[in-house]
Amino acid sequence: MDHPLRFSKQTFALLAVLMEQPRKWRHGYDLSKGTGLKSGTLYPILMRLGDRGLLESKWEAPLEGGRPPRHMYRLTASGVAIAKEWLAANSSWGVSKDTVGNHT
Amino acid sequence: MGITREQGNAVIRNLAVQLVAHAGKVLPRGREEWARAMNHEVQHISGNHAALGWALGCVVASYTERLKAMSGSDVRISRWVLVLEMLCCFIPLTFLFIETVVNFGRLGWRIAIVALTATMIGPLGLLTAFKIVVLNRPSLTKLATVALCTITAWTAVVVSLYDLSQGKPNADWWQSFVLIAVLPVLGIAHLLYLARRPAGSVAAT
Repeated sequence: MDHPLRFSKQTFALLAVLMEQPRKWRHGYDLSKGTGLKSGTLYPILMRLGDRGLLESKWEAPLEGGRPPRHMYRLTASGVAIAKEWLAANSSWGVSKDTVGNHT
Repeated sequence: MGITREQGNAVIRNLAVQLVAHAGKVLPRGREEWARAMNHEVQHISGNHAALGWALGCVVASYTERLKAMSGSDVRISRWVLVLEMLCCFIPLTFLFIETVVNFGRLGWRIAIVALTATMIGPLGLLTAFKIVVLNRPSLTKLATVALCTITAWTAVVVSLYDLSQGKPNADWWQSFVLIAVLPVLGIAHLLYLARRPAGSVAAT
């Protein structure tokens, strides 16, 4: 598996949020709220992480009321390992939702 | 009679849904699951304006992915087609350049200098195309890249100003504009793109 070369601050923010509860499945909009990233920034990062095998996704069980099931995301085991390593190495960034700001 | 609040909200929600559907169509092959993810997610966002913002971001994301997929593609054009393309782009200006050189003495020196610098992209483009397309040596120095871009921009500016200075244009003004302003710009843009590719991958033959 390719080791990511480097992560942007936006990816850092996403990894930090995912690592708050690594085994918990999160929806895209929840991640957007948690990181401050807009969908235009968030989805490409999710796709990149998925391509590299660091993120896994699944569809939630069909809901009542006719609304379609949502896509959910969490880090894979290798994603957790790399995120731990990378977050520790770049802890000086201290990226928060306010720091990342609103990106589209 | 204006639009009611409910009607306005319905319009915004409908726009959000349409935008996400468009984003899904723009995403490149292999991203179908992400297209569905975007589509389903927007339907769970309760605020209409928030949904619209989400949808706009999805459109941005989808075009970003589409452009990444296109720039990484391995589509190669036949070398002969590339040669023909470069001739079409640079021959007209090359003829103008030669004509300027031949008539240099008859033009005022200021006009002659402007005309020479505005047409030199013709022969320069042909030489660059010969190196990249025919000799298959696609590398260009930073200086060469900057010079080509600057001269091309200068050509477009001079031709545009010349056309504007003619007052009411005739019906065919656009033909000369395309030949001596637009085509060289496209030719240089394509050459600069080819110059970034590894040697041996410029053309299909």
